[in-house]
Amino acid sequence: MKKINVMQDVLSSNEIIALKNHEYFKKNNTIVFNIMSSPGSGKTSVILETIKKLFNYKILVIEGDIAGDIDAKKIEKSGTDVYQINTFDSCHLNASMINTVIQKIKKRYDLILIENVGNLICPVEYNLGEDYKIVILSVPEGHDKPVKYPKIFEKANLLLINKIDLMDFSDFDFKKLNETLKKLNKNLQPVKISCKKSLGIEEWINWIKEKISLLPG
Amino acid sequence: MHEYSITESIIKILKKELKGKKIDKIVKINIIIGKYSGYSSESIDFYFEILKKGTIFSSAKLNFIIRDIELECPECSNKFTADSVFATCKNCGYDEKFNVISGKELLIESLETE
Ligand SMILES: Nc1nc2c(ncn2[C@@H]2O[C@H](COP(=O)(O)OP(=O)(O)OP(=O)(O)O)[C@@H](O)[C@H]2O)c(=O)[nH]1
Ligand SMILES: [Mg+2]
Ligand SMILES: [Zn+2]
Repeated sequence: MKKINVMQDVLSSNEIIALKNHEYFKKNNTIVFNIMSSPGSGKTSVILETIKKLFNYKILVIEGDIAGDIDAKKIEKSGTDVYQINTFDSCHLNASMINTVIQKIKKRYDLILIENVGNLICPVEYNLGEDYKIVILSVPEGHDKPVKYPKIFEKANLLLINKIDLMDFSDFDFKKLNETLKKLNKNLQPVKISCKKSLGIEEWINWIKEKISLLPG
Repeated sequence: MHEYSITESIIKILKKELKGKKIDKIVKINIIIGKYSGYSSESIDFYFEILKKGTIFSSAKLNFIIRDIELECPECSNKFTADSVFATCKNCGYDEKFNVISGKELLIESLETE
């Protein structure tokens, strides 16, 4: 028997491409948000609200779905540039998929909003080269999700609590949510929104604008 | 599905590693996996058995070396192993966010040939 040492980080191959993507975005002065949540929490709805409010900016939306282009069509309707990525057998976007889109980009954008595949588990393991990770949790999913899926909340830069218009029909407990978040990510301040009733959107937009203002130039 | 692409990556990395090398039959692949890596060794194993067919790894078995979650208390620097990141420091009672020293890793450690 012979032993061959390997000692390689399995996730490093994605990491190398993610860094390349990040360099490209930086060079172009583009700020990139990776938006993640369970299926149906409101990723597309949040993106639609955001592009409505940020009409002064050059925006690209990248839609990641296992199949279909329903969400991309919705974005297209608003007149915003959009790329659809179909991941087929994969439950998350990876850096190489985003790199393929970069190869096709013909102009400069101020910001890129990436809608990841609806999934609270896998997308967080794959950096795409983004500047910020946004996680959306919706009221009907319950306040205990960070206990069950800790990693995504640990890595998030911002947490949006969507569908707060449904609070009256729910036992969602913000106090319990905050107790869990304290153990995972002390900087995570949940921003409460409702895309349906246009509540709290201003606070989220201000957060984005603040991040844009941090860009050089 | 989560582990499908990671198993593909494992095979890809190993193929690259072995490129141009003369290799006898590979019988074992040692993988270090942390309890907080987010990956299940059972699922990786499941996909490996499918994906190894027709490759140089077709007679290989995966061997998982499990790493515990090791936490450090930011208040009193107490280090201890835990079953999850939701823990309480036995030394000072702190129960918020701990520094994770190990337990997140997923590494290919080594290969064994016949
Ligand atoms: N009541 C209520 N419903 C909402 C709100 N935001 C979104 N929805 C609804 O929730 C459903 C899912 O919203 P999407 O924006 O498609 O969610 P998504 O996360 O993009 O879903 P996937 O792409 O399938 O993962 C739709 O029927 C929306 O109309 C909200 O604030 N309140
Ligand atoms: Mg969507
Ligand atoms: Zn302590």
